[in-house]
Amino acid sequence: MDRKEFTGQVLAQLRRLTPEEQDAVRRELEDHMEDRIEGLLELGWSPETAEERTLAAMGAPEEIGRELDKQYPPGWLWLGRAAFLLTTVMCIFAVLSLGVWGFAIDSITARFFPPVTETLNKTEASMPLNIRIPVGNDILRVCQISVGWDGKRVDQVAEVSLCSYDRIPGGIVASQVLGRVLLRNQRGETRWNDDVRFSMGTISGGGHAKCQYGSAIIPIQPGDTYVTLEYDYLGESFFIELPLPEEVAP
Amino acid sequence: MKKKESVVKLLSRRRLAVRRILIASAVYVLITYFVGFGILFPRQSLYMNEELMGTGRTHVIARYTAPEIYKTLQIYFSENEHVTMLSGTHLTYLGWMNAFGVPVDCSKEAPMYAGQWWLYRQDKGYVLYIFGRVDDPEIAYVEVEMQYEAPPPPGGQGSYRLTTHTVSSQRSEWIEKNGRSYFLIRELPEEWPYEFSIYPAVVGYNADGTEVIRLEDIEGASSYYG
Amino acid sequence: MKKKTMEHTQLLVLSLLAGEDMYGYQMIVELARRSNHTFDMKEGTLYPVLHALEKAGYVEAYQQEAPTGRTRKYYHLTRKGGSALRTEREEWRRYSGAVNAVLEASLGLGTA
Repeated sequence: MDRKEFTGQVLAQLRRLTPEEQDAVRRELEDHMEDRIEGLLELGWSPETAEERTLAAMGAPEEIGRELDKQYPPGWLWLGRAAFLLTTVMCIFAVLSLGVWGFAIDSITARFFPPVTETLNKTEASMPLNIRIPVGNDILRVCQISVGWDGKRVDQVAEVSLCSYDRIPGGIVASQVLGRVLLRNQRGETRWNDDVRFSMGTISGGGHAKCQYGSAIIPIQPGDTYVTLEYDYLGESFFIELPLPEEVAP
Repeated sequence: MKKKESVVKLLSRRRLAVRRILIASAVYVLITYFVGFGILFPRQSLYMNEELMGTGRTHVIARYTAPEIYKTLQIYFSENEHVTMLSGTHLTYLGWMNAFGVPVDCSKEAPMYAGQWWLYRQDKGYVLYIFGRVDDPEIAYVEVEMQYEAPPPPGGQGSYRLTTHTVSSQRSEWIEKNGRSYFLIRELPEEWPYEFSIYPAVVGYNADGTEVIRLEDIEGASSYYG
Repeated sequence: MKKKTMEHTQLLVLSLLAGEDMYGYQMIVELARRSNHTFDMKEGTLYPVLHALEKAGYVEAYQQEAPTGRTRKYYHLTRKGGSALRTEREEWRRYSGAVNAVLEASLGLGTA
């Protein structure tokens, strides 16, 4: 028997090892025998005898192989492979849904540069605001308040620009946050926000809205100094007075 | 010249597997969070729905299936202090996908709250859920009147509501949690003339048959699935 | 008395690695040197022992250039292996101490 036959017989027992693992075992045994043979050669033995003595010192190849094989139970191998498969599949999903990432990024940039919605034809006065209201797991941001005319009504209106996103960057925002905010004037009049538009951050089907923005409009009268923003749904509520910018000219 | 020491770490099967599992978990959480696809656990889809409806964390009190709509559709009946809700999720090639649902606001003091959820799948079927929460211990049973809008009689004016049939639910059938009781009624379309829109009215009665509360035009939603 | 939980070969390997990282052949040479050739094991059977220790997490392996210039697979004792070694060493000491005590006692008996 020579070295190659020896390792061959060991590897024949390694049924549970992957080809890479088997190769590693082969190399390890070959390295060992190489070192042993070199040592004997230095002592003056002939190459054939050195190899013979080395093989004798190594022991029975089948036994070595069997004992090695026992150290490779399949459990961890399959767990590792399953995990790797999951990672691959998830990365494929990530690539397939590149469009959705845009929305997640929107919700992050909205925190620093909130989208301001302005729909008035003619603005009399405008004031930027930076009010963050926590509503459940989300944040409602009041970006700006303006006074002017919207082209549909004769009276002046106040427009409040709003934006909503999840507390955690990139998370889902509840569509009701923007949908159920009420804007009320000093006479107590209010209207549901039929003027609130939603951004393209709302996807249908998946329903994973990340950032929504729009504005609410309410008619005001000369002499009004504030409007109120109200919300009461699912146990979350707030009531905020927003001062109207400058003076409202009659 | 600095001698470059080339050391290559060799990982055992276990270490390699553990590393892969950690990476897979991180990737899974990140991608399901940002993208919403590839969800492996239906309960996670419920979490997404909670975020979408703004209910906060809810506790599941019952689970149903609705194979008339999707073979794998799971309906969760869940609640917290301010909300009672139904939500759905079904298994697709992209993992568990949200099938929406209905939250019922229970934050305003009332003896009873109710909601309705229609599910309709083209060429497959309808299901109607009427559900709610009863806080008043006096209410012994609930009746749901399936009403439809009848056209005005010839010569007359004003449409009115007619009840086709009534479904009742006894307190013994309800689910108790934290001193609150939850009921759920499931209706399938064969029993009513579905060419008309159905308006369920939910009425709570106490033990001797007196009406305690009547809820009409209850909040809810219709979900259409392709 | 507790039965020994670790094979003595594994224990020897761990104690070798407590000093420094070694590769397989190096361990055989070192073992022979330290024990004055008392331990005479089949060299190939070292490898199942090493792989078993790796599986148990007591050693880690890495590839590095050996003093001979070639690359060899080195083994390193992990923290887990170190504490296992300490435990087993204690066990062994107590066991061998007990054996010695029994043997010593028997010296006084049955000798003419």
